[in-house]
Amino acid sequence: MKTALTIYVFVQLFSLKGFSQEIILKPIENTTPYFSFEEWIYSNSNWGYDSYGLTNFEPHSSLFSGSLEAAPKVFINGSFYNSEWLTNDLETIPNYPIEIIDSVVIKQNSQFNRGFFTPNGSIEIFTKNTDRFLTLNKSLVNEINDPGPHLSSDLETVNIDAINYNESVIISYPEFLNSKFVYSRDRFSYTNRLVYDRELNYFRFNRASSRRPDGQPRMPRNIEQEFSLLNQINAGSFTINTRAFFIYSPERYTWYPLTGIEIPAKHKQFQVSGIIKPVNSSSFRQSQFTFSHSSADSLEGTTVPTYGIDETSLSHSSSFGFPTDNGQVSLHLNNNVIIWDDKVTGNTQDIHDANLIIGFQKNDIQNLKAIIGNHTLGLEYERKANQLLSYNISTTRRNLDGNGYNFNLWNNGLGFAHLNKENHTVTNNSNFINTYSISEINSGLSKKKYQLNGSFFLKHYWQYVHTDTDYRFKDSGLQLDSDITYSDLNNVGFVGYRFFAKYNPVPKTFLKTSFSGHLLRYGSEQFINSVRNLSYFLFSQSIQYRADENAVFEIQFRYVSPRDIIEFEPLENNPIFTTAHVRPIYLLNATAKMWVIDRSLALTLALRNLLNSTESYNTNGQYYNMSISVGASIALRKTS
Amino acid sequence: MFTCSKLVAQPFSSVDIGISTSKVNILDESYASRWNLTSAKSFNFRTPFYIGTAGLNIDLFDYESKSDQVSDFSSINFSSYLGFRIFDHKDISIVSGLFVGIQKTDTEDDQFDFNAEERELYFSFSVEPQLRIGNFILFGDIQHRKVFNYYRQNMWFLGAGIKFHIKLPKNIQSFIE
Repeated sequence: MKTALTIYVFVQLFSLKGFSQEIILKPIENTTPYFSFEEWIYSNSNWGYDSYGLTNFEPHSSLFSGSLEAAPKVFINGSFYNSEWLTNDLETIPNYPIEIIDSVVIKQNSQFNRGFFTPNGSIEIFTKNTDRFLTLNKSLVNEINDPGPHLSSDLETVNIDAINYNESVIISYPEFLNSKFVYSRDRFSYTNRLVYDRELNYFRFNRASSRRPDGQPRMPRNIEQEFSLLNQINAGSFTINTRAFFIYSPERYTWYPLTGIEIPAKHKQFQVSGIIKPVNSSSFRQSQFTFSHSSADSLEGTTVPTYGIDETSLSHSSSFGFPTDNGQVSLHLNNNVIIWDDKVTGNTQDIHDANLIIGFQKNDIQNLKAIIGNHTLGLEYERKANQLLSYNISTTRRNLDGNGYNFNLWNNGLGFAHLNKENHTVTNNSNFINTYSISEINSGLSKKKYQLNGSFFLKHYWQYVHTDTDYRFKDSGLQLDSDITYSDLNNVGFVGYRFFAKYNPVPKTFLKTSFSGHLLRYGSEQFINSVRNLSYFLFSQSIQYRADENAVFEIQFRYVSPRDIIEFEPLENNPIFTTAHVRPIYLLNATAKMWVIDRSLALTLALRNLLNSTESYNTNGQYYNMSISVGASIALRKTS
Repeated sequence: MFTCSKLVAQPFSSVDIGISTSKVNILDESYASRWNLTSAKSFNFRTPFYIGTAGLNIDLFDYESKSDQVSDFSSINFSSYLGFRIFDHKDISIVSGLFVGIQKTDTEDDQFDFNAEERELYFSFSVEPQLRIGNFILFGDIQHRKVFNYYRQNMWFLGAGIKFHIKLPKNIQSFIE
């Protein structure tokens, strides 16, 4: 019977009936608090991730974690969010408080989405339409095992008074340009940087490398502030959605494990984006403009420069549609300018890219597109054979620096992609190409009581060129140098899977399961060694019980299999520094959340990582410790 | 004797507000040899919740050093509470509960001011005998507390207090909900 049921579920899942490849996350289903919006997204979907710090989450979508190539593309209220700024490749998603979110739609398969090719999927964030309200959030995250009153005694270690202080303010004021203002501030310390070994009586790593004038260690605390302003303006027969975003980190410490050095810097990014759309149908569909300026600067107040990089970009896209007797003709125009300026090396680099896409669509069944640009030439044909099956053929030649072409053949159920990708970084000023294929089976099923979503994928690289660009200090002084490692590999790949399910078996009880990982890696020994850090699987199960609409209890279990961290390998033979492996993580969270005063005040008590052992205090590379988080929100008027 | 009928009352139908004082004993030698702990002064708030009694506690007590090698500390302890009535007979009852909270300690000596502030998680298991006299409740405070510092603190609390019981009108209940 059980086997028959299992077969039935799999047949249903892959029969393509009620086809659904999207995972939709609703904050209303959320109880357990998270360190950041990114963690909420990655841990509630079936996207694997690594996390060495509290606020950095590295999605596993491609071969290497922490790579922009691996990151999904992000859209906020329909407009593209430029997450690829500078070398800050982990800052992929604004840290929005969950109170402003309506839903997050996750598409994990390779596809064209909103005019962008998204080889590693996309994350679309939609904010709520609300009445006028003010929300204040405050939470505290802490760990166990700090010395406390013993700090001056034999333990000789350093207290972290709290890991993360998080505050946010949201103001929604529809009367003035339908405005939403969001301010959030995180003040966090890296944990487990100080590792005092009682046996050796030695500090293995120093999480408090910064010193006070009297020589006592000082705990560096990273400060990150984000400001967002979202507006919707109704101007006659047009609506204009604007989004301004500013990140300011006056103190940011990037920790380098091999040297134990934390480099302080200021980070800034300003991005403003606007979409204009007609209210009624017309030939003009929409235009989007985005301006972005980013800088990372350690020059101020230092006698010897370490680094200082500026990036400025301007992009535009416009779409038009013209109905004819035989179908719909569309025009899409986009252009993009990016300029980099490295103040230390004096290097500058810029890219100018412009494309015209002409499309013809017939009866929602056939879609033909031609792409003509200064670096790109392509043709794409899509046909939906029936409700259950569609296929897409496209070919694109990109010629940014005399190299590159792009060819795709895929449909929603089974696909194949062949992509050359050009990367440009300020630090190495180089171009390199990855040529790979993606085969995917994606399918899902949505019913009233449950949602199932599954995919298997194969990524085969005919040519894979990976670069690691790192910073190191020259022996002669505190001047930044680039340390670039290239690995050029042929015929390598891996097989992976993702599974996600939500179900509501009995009233008041909700279950959520996700499971993802890699089944197989193949290729040269160099490749196998170089991707060891991605040999993982992640399992997550949550059970939520709603005693009342204002009282929710949730138990969540996560398991992340052990991985190696390549960066720590040189420590293997070091008698002083321990090798840091990311050990298996057994994570159990218990959360109680209640709302009072017409849901205007929310109180959350969460105990995280109940399965963690105290031993983690003496290791490096894990932050998983027991923590407590208390949050409250006050609204002037109930949100819709 | 053992009743289930009173385990769950209408949420927020009443509140109990109280104060108490308790003698605190720390069991761990590494702490006991360095510090004396003063008596704890506590503020209590309780209300019926969906599955029992919920509440908040604030406790204040100090660590007084026994030598000049260690510093004095003050501590303020914030906790949330969930309790269940396990015995009820006329005006006498016993409530057993669990506290989850944070102990915040501060060094009071300038000599030890380096990273002097610390917040640490604790759990307490409590048994609270109660005697109801009109709207007043006399109660005993028996608690075992574990603070999750690197070297754990295990403490016993033994004390007594008084609470005032206030029945909330329907409109205030509705407002809270």
